Amino acid sequence: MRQFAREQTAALIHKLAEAVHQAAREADEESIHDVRVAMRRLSRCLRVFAPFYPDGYWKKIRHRLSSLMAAAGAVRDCDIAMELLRQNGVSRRAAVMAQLAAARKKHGDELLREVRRWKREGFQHKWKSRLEL
Amino acid sequence: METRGLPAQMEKQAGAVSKPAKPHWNERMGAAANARHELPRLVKEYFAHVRLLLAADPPPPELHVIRLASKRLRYTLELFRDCYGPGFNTRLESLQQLQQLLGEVNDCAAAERLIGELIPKSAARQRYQEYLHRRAGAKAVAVRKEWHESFDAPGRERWWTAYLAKNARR
Repeated sequence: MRQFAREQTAALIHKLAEAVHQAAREADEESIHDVRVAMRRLSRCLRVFAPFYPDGYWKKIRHRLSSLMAAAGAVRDCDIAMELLRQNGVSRRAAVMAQLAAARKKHGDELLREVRRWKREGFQHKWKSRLEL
Repeated sequence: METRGLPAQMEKQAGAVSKPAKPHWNERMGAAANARHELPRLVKEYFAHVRLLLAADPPPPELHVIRLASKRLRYTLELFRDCYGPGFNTRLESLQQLQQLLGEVNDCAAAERLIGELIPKSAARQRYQEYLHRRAGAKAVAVRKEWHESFDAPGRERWWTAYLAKNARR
């Protein structure tokens, strides 16, 4: 069981690293979605398989994941709000759309800086090492 | 969207009700044996939680609690995908379908909140928020229909638990 938990964790860390690399190029809707999904899966995995990790480091990883998740969530919120208003016939030139687009740009830039930082730091190797994977 | 902006009472409720029971792994058993033992229990508890929550006929924003429980269950189950055959994906798809509807309710509630934060009070803002509120209500009806007529139709809980208890191999 321990080996299975380790394999699953290593695979999910790898998937997150791939998603972060992709999002570091451009924080578009699809790559943000992929990062969010990869983070959620890894976060759940860490919680579910917590007894199989050497110490409490998995909690620190989850904490870091939640901060990036919040940044990605803020971007998605703007994308969703704009899409729902569009479906209701609100023009792209409406004031509300401009405000949402400005908020999206601000959060998108923050997210891009954050994922690029994650990419530079090479979290993948550090986490695998600390979790003894 | 996560739990940002939720009323404190709902946050508390989310914490108390949506968290699935902690799995108890037996280190001496393999992944498949653990899955056969623990996953049916987690699914059974999920059904019980959601039935309880829906019985209270919650307003659309409170379906968020069910969304969290569904998400946690799905990601937990997905960790054991390698242990099961194609029937596993069929079951996950039914959970995903429910999640999709729950996500649509949540999107409306979150967009309504975001617009409230970003846009100064005006007739236009009120119009957008009313639209999103109505839409969330319609999606919430679809969630209940999906739950009662499909996901929790007679025999469906057993369809999940019997499969998970018998078909894990690794």
